[in-house]
Amino acid sequence: MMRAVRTITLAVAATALVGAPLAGRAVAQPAAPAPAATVLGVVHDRLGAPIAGATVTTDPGGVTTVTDAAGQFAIAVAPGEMLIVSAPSYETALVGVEGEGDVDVELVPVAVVGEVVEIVDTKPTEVAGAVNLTTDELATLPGTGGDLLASLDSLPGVVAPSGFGGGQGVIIRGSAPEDSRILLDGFDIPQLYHLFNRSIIPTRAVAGLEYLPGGFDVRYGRASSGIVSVTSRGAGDEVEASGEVSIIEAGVLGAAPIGDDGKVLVSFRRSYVDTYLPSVLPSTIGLVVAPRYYDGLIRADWDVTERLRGALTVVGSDDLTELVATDDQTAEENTFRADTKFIRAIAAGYWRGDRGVTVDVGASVLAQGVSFAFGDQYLNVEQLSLGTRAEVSKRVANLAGLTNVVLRGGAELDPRRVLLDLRLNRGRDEGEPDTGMDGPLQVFDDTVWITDVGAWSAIEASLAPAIRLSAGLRLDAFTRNGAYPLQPRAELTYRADDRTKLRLAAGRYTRPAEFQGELLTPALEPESATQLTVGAERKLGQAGNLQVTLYDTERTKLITRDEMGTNRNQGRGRSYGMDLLASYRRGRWFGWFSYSLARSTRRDTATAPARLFDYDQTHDLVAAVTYKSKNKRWQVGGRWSYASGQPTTPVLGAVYDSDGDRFLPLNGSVNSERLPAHHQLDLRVDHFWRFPTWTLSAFLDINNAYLNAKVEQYQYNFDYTQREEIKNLPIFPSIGLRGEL
Amino acid sequence: MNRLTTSVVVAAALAAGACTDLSQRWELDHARVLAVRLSSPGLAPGEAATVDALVSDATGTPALATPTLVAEVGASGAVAVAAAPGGWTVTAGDAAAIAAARTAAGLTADQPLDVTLGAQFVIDGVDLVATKRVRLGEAIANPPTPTIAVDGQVVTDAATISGVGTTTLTLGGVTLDDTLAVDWLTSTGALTNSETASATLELVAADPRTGHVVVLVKSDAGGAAWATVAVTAP
Repeated sequence: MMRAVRTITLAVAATALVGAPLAGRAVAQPAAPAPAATVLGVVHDRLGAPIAGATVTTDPGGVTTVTDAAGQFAIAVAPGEMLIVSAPSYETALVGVEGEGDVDVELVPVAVVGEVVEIVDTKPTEVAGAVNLTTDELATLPGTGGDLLASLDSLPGVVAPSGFGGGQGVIIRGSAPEDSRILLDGFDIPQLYHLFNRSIIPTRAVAGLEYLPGGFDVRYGRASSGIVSVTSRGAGDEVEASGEVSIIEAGVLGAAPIGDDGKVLVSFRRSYVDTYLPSVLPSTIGLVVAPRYYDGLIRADWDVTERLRGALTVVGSDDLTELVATDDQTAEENTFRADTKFIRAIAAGYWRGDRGVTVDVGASVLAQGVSFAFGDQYLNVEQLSLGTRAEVSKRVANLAGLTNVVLRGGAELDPRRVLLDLRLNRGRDEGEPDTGMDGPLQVFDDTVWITDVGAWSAIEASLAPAIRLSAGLRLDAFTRNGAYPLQPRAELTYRADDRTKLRLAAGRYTRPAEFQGELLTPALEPESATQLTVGAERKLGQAGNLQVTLYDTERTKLITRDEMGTNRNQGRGRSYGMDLLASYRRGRWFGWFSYSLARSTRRDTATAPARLFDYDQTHDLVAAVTYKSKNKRWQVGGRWSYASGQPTTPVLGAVYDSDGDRFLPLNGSVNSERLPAHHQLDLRVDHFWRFPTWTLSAFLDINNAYLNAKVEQYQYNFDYTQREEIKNLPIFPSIGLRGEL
Repeated sequence: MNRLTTSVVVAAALAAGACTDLSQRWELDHARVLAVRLSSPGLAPGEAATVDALVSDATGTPALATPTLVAEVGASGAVAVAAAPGGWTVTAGDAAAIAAARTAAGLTADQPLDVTLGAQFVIDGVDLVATKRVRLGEAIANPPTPTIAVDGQVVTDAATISGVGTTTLTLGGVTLDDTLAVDWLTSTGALTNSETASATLELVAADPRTGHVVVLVKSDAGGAAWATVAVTAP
């Protein structure tokens, strides 16, 4: 029987800044006064090949052994001790030992350590049972155009964004996009995607993607639903360079070591659809949307001392969308322009001290600009943010009868200045009928100051060999609103056997009233959510993994608008459902199956009847498979997805205002109808040419291969007697070339 | 404000890239109310007006219509609505009733008091509802009845147009200013510049050879006037 194992690849954890799981490399600590037991184990690489000569050391005992030709070892381990496993050309791993059985340790090569992606469901601080996928597997998922972060909507619980994407957040488990946070190296980024759902960070610059749909740890605040945490990649020990061109964009990436202790990675990308689209379309179309974006990332790492490591990340993005006329008349009649840009700089330090102490600190500056104009309406936003956060942890073998204890505490400060200048229609809120650009105008020109402060403390400990508890308390201070929510959270993990783990998590979560128009109403309280999550994970054979999670979230103090159009904390809501994720990786085959069954409802006031939430999605299914040829020159794959249609409010008729010469719609019950369900097939083929010093690859990625265009919304005629479906593109092929040194 | 109003962006993007088969405002292709008219859109105390409307049916044929029901939206107490032989009559209250209603609405003595009427019509078996404003306390006249010129020739009931190609429609009889708005409508062909004094009607081979052209003139003060012409293409 295999023993339960926790493996944390140090390099991955270290690059995850303060927002990621801490991996303390404990050293020199007095041994626990308990008898040691002999642990048998095997060390292997990602393909299962044994690693001979790997060094295995107990921590803090300091007992060392070396693996044999079969990668096997035996070592005496005292209760509460962990194992440090290292081998030349591989990243060092920290392994927790619990329960009975053998230890199975997988080491990741140094050169690809940045390509390990952890997709973690409802677990705060450990990676046991998590699904580990390589960037190659995710980036070549059909339909993503080679974009790793675009594969996010293949995960259970994530609702596929509507429209052409861009600017939207991530819709997780029946929540609004603003209820979840998107983090890069521990700090918020205003957007994850450009238009066409292209992520702002190139795949080759991503080290890890952590997806926490709920039940997350107290180190994360200001979110009432989920967390998407992206970790940028540091350079390896070798010089690398790559370039990629497709019909949408072109990008380059380079990385190299600097001196003995430093490394730097640089990437830059620009789209060029705007340069050729107007000229290839016929003039009869009149107007087309011509998006243009570019982004860049610089990451520098340096080892200051053996125990102290520093990193500097600078990421920037600029999206411009405007209508381009193909004839002179429409150019004069129409004005539409949206420009969003930001740049964030993050400085981080990681210190691994004696006696199991770790300190992670980070400081960051964000400058963001949004400019939007449509006819005589406009919106201009300038935001400047200075964020800092720090977390300290200490690992002890025994404490008050508990074993393998980790104590953590941290704090963060995020002051922001927002310059707002707008003359814009009030727009549509969740659950309201669409008013287009004809709603009541809001006019505002002022500066809004926001200061959010958070502090947290947590303990993780083993209550018994198979039971581990994580409990914490978080206090936030949303000073603009005068709100100080206290949020207790806990998770209990039970390892039923070496292949099965059960989880129970519960906690309180809040989101401050800082989203768009909420900034105009300072008296709002934060929205709250109480999450309850029950999950099970089981390894299936040698190649499969299955996760099932049930969740129920009660939401209170939701911000809705009253009859006068004023924001108030009078809404309530509930989201519940099941997420299932299965993966299979064997030989040249990789399979993926995710399914979500969900229901999300809202009450706009305490006495209002429950209605469907705008983003309620009953069924969401994704099945994907990829196959690599024996000579590794070809890779082919397909992905089929099915999703329920988005709820919509039908218009039953209209009253004609004879004096205003306009028709006033008579709306049916809110969200009482759905758009048609959508299904599509995506296909992808990759071919690789391998040369002595470099590799050239080409790919063809076809999104929506059988031309089943997705219905995005209904559009009515001027008097609401007719409606038609507005559909997305029927097919979206992407062709590209990539060269890598 | 972390994110732009994405729905607006997406809607604009979709609208820009989409070609629609929905009826245009100038298309007479289904039953609808085109304009509701009071014989006097502003009433002095004790004065009365009758209510009628211009409607079009599913064939795009315009016709004068009488509402099946007229009622005040709300209860100002300043007007009386009654069925009369051949239609509906709206009668303004006396000066004291109008003053009381004005006070109840929070208006000063020199501000106009507008009352909204609801009117129901049945066209091709379909119930249609429209609202109409009546201004109390001052007499207001409708705009003069317009005329229609087809390719420069003023016509009254019917006109022959040139067939496949463009025809210029010109408003006459009314001098447009900032208080007046014009709308052209047609049941055949396609209109451009339909909200200006001179519109262009374009017919293609697939369009019906016969139809109607309507021009509406509406004033800020609630006045309405119109003209209709049957057109035939060779």
